[in-house]
Amino acid sequence: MLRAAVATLRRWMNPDRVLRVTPMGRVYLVLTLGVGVGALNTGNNLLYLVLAFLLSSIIVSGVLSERVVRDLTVRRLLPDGAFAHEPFPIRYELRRRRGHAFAVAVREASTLMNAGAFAAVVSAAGPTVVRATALAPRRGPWALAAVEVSTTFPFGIFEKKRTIALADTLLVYPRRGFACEVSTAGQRQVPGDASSGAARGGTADVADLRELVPGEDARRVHWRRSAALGKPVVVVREREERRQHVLRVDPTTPSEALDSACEAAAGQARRLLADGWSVGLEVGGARLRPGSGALHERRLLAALALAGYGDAG
Amino acid sequence: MNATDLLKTTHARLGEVVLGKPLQAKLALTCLAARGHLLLEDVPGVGKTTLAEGLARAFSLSCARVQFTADLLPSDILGAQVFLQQQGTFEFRPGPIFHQVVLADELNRAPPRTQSALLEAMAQGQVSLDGVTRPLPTPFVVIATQNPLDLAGTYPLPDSQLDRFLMRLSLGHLAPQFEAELLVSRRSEPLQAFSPVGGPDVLSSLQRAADAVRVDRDVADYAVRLATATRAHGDVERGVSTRAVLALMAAARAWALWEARDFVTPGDVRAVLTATVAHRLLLKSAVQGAFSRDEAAHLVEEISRRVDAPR
Amino acid sequence: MSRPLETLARDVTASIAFGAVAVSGSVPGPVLLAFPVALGLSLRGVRPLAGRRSASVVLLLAVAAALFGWATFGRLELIVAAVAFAVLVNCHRLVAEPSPQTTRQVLLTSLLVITGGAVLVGDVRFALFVFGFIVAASWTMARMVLDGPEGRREPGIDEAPARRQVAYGLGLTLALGVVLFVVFPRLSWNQAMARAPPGLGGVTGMSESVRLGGGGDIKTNPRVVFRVSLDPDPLTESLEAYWVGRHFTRFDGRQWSSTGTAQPPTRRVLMPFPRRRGARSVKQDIVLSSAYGSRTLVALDVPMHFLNGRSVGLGGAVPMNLSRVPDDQVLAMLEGNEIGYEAISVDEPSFDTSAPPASATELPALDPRVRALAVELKGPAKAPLDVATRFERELTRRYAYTLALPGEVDDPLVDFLFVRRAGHCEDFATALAVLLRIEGIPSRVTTGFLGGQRAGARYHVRAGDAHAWTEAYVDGAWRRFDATPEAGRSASPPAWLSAAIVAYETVEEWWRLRVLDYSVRDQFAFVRDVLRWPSGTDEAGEARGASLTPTGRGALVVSLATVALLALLFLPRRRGRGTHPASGLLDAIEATLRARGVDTGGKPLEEFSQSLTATNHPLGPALAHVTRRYLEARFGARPLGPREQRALLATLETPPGPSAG
Repeated sequence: MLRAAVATLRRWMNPDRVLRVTPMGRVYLVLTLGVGVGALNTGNNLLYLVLAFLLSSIIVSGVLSERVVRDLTVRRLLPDGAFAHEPFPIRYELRRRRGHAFAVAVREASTLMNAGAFAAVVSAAGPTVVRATALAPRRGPWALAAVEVSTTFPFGIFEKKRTIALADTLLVYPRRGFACEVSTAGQRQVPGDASSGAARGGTADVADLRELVPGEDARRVHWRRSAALGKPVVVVREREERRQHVLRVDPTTPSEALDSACEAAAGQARRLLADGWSVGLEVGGARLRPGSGALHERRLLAALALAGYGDAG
Repeated sequence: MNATDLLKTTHARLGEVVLGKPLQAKLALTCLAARGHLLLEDVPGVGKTTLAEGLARAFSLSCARVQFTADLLPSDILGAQVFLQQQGTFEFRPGPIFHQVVLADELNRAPPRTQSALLEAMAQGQVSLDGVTRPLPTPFVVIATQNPLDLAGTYPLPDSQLDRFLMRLSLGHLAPQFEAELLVSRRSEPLQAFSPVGGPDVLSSLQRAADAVRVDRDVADYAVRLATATRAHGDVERGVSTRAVLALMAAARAWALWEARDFVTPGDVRAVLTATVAHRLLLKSAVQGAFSRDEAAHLVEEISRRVDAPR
Repeated sequence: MSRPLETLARDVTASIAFGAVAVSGSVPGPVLLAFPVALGLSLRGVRPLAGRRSASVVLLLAVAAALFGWATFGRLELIVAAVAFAVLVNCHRLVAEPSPQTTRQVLLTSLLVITGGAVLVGDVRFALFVFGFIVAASWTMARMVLDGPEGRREPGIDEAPARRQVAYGLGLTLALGVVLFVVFPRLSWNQAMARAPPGLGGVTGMSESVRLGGGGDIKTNPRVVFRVSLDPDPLTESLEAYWVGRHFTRFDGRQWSSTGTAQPPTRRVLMPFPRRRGARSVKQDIVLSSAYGSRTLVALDVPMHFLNGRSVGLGGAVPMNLSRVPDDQVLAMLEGNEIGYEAISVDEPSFDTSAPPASATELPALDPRVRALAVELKGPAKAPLDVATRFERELTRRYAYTLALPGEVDDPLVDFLFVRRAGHCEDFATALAVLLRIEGIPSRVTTGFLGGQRAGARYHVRAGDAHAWTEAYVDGAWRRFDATPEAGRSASPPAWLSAAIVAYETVEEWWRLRVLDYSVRDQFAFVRDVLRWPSGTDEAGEARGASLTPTGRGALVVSLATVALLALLFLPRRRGRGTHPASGLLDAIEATLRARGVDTGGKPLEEFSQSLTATNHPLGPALAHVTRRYLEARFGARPLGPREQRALLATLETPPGPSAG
C-alpha cells in the first residue's frame, strides 16, 4: 500500500507526464472554485456535497488517465519514404502488457505536421494499429525523436500526456509535380506496352506483330504481313539499347533554391524513366550510375532527398 | 494415409528444403489443396523458387518454369503453331503452360498482354489458340512470384488479375539461425534429395477431401461479415469481391484438414484471412505500391480483431 | 455528424439538473414550462435555433435583463433568477445545433443548475438528483472522450472494457465524493440552506382564530410540520402528546379569538407561572418546517420557557427574538424557511395556575337548548371536576366525529349539538368550553397538535395531527379536557401510506442529520473516533463507536448499493446471439480459465489453445481436447450432452502434473 503510494508519488513527479487542462476542464475548474467559495461562505452542506463530487471527479480523472498512459508501448510504422507536401500515413502500433487503455491519442513530438491518431480501446489481447496522416513540408531526412501519447479519459477534463522517446528517421522525397505527368501521358498515344521502351517503328529488331489500332500512324503498317493476313498489322520492335541521361544537382546548404532544384530533378527523372531512359544522378561529389526501374527511381529520389544534408548519396 | 497425415508429411519434407518457413509452407500447401493459385511476393533470393519446386515435386507434378521478362510474348507461354518443313503443315507445339505446375517467375516483368494470357488460362483451365481449345492438365497450379521492391518492374498486376490468385504470401528474410544452417548443410541442390509423397492423384484426393469439408452457417456468415467489414473500412477504396469470399472459404476448408476436421471453424477463417484477402484490397492511402502491402495486412488483421466471431 | 447517443445522454443530464431545481418550487412558471418544451424539441430532433446565433443571443440577453430586472425590484430572489437564467441557457443550447461544443456547454450549464439546486432544495430528493446528475454527466463526457477528437465512432470496437472502466471510475467518484464530503474542513459554523421547500402553499393547523362552520373537508395531510427531539427521550414509537400552540378565551358564538397584544420581543420567553418543585420538565429542540406556515411556537403540555430562536433561510441561520402574547402564545419574530427553537415544558397538565381572565367565563347569546343540554349532561355531578369530566365523557359518547364541515349555518354550535350531532375537534372543544362556562367554570379552547411519530432520533408531527381541545380552570389550575372521540383525535392516513411515509421520513431524517446538518462538530467527533478506533478498548470509545457505527454502516451500504447499481447499468449485456447450445460451453471454458488464473489475453479460444500447445503449457493438452470438442459441437454438428460438458470442464479443473517450465 505504502509502496504503491510512493510509486504513485514518484510517477507524479516524473517529468515525462504533462497534465494539461482542456478548455472544458478550465471552465470546470472555475466552477469548482466557485462552488467551493460558495460552500465555505454559506456553510451549505449541499454545496459541500456538490464540491466533494466535483473534486473527486478531478482526482478520479487523474488516477484513471494515469492508468491509461502508464503501461503503453508504441511502435512507429513508417512508410519507406514520403513525398513532401503530400499526405502520407504513419501507423502506430500500440500495445499494453495488461488491462486496457482507452481514448489514446498519439502524435509526433516533432514539427512534422500531424493530425494525430486515435484509438478508442487498446487491449492487452493484441496490438492496436492506428493511423495518422502526416505531411512533411520539406524534403530531407526528418529525425523523429519521440511520440506523445495522451488521453482525456475518463471525463475529458484533463489531458494527460506522456512523451515516449522513439527515434526514427523518415526520408522525405522532393515534392512531386503532378501537372507535368498529365501532359506526357496525353502525348503517349500508342496503347499496349509501348511505354516499356519498345519504340515506335524504327530500326530495332522485330519483337511482335499486332493489329493496327485506330488512330495509329499508317506508316507503321507492315504491308506484306497485312496482305497475307487480310487485316492491317503493325510491327512492334524492341529497342536494344537505352538512352542515358545524367542529371546534376549542385548541393549548397539546404535552401529553398536547392529544394526546388531537387524537385525539378526528381520530376525530370521520373518523366525520363517513364519514357524508357536510363537516368543517372550527380549530387556534389556523389554519383549514381544510370539505371532504370522503380527501385532505381527510389534510389534517385533518396539521393535527391538527402542532397545538401551532409551524407548525401 | 488420410489427408491430415498426408499434409503433415509433405509439410515435414518441404521443411527440409525450405528452411525456417513453416507457416508459409503450410499456407502454400493449403493453397494447393484448395485448388488455388499462389502468388509469392518477395525480394529475390529468399527461397520462392525452391518452395514452388518443392511443392511440385512433393506430388510428382510436371513442372515448368517461365522466367517472365519484358520481351516475353504470349506464345512463349501458351505455345504456337510451328511450321514443319518436312510435312509442309503446321503443328501445335504446347508452351510451358501445359504442365501441372507452372512457376511464373517475376510475373510482373512481362507486359500486360503476356500476363493476361497466363491469367486467362488460369481462370478457365484451358487454352484457346487459333480456334482450337486445349484443356490444361489437372491438377493445374500456377505459382507466380513477384518482386515488390522493384516496383512492378514497370507492369504491376491489375487488381482483377490479382483476384485470380487464391493467396499471396511473402516469405521474408530467413532468421539468422536458419541462414547459418543453410550454409552448414552446403547442399547445392537441396531438391535433388526430395522424395515425393505421392502422385498427382494424391493431390487430387487432397483437393477432394478439402471440398468435402462442411461449413456451418454461422462460419459462412462470419466470413461474409469479415468481407463486409473490409468494404466498410474507412481506409479502403474498394473492399473484397464475392469471389474473394468464395476463395476465403475454400482456403479455410483446406486449412481445416490440418486439424483433421471435417468442418470449418472461425479460427480456420482467421488463419487464412490475411493470405487470401490482403492482396485483393485497394487502399485509399496516398502512397500505393510497396507500402500498401504492409498496410493491407495491418488492415486485415485489424478487421479480424474487430469483427466478432460466432461463439 | 449526428451523435444520437451522446445527444440523448446530454438531454438526460440536463433534465436531471432541471428536475433538481424544479422540485424546489421556487423557479418561475414560464421557466418551468420552457424546459420541457425545449427538451421535447431536442428529443424529436427539432433544432429551431440551429444557425441563428445572433438572434438567439439577443433573445437570451433580453431574458436575462428581464430576470435580473425582476430580481432587482425584489420580485425574485437573486439566486432564483440566476438559476432560472441558467435553465434558460440550457434550453437554448438544447435546441441549438448539436455538436461536441454544445454538449460541453449543456453539461457545464447543467452543473450550474444543479449547484443552484443545492441552494434551493434541501430535500433528500436532491441526493437522488445529484447522484443521477453525476452518473449521467460523467457518462456523457466519457462517451465524448471515447468518440475521439473527430467524433467518429469506429464501428466494431468492443467498448465493453471501456464501459466497465467508466463505471468503475464513476463508483470511485461517488465513493470518494462521500469521503471528501465527510472530511472536507467546515470552516464556518454558519449553515445556510433551504430546507424542505415550501412546496405548493403552506399547510397548518394553526390559525389566528378558530372559526366554526365553513365548507369543505379537513385534510388528513401527512406533511411534517415540525420535528422535535426530546430530552429526556421517551423512546416510544408513537408519542401521543399534546402540543400546545395557542389558547383562545373569547367566544362570540361563531368564532374564538384572542385579544392580547404582543409584548416587546426578547431572546427568551419565560411563562409567568409560579414555579413548583418536583415537577418533571422536558426539554425540546423543535424545528418548524417551512410547511408550518405560521409564526406561533408550539411546545409540549405546559410550556414554561422558550429560548434560542433562530430563523434558517437562504442567508443562513439568524438568531431571532421571540415575543409573548398574553393569550399564552409565543410568536417568532422573523420569517424564515425554517424556524428552530428550544422549549422547556412541564408534563403535568395542572401546572398552569395562572388566574383565568374575565373573558374565560363570558358567554355569547345562546340558544336555550344549549343550557338545557348542560343541565341534562351534568346529571348529578356537583364538584367542578366531576362536572367537567362528565361533560367530556357525555360529549364523547353522544356525538360522532366527522371530517365534513357543515357549511355556512347560522349557529354552528346549535348545528353541531342538535342538527348534525357530529363534528370535528373544534366543535367538540367549543361545545365543551361553552357547557363549562354555563356551569360557571372558566374555560378556554386550546389549539395545537396531538401526536408525534418517531423517525430516527426525532419525532415528527404532521399537519394532520392538528387538534383542538378544551382547558378548564378547576381547583386552581388549568386542566385539559378533550371531548373529541378517540377515533378523530389525530387523523391518520391508511396503513400502507403511513408505512411508506415513515420509510421516506426515516431516510429524510438521516439525510437531515447526516448531510444537511453535518457540521464541524460532527467532523471533530468523526476524527476523534477514527483516532480512537485502533485502541478500541476504552469504554467511551466503544459507546461512541456504537452510536456512530450504524451511520457508517449506512453510508457503506448506500455506497455499495450505488456501486452495484452502476455495475449493473454499465456491464455489457450478454450477447444475444449466443443461442447455440455449445456457446454455453465456451463461456464455461473461459470462466474456468479465468478462475484458474490463466489469462487468455483476449485471444479467441482456438488461437489461445494453439499457443498453449506451442509453448508446452501444462494445460495445453487438456485445453486442446476441450477446445476441439467445443468446435465439433458448435460448428461440426456433433452435439454435446450436459454430462459430457461437465466431464470436459472437469479435465480443465484438475491441477496439472509437475509443470515442465
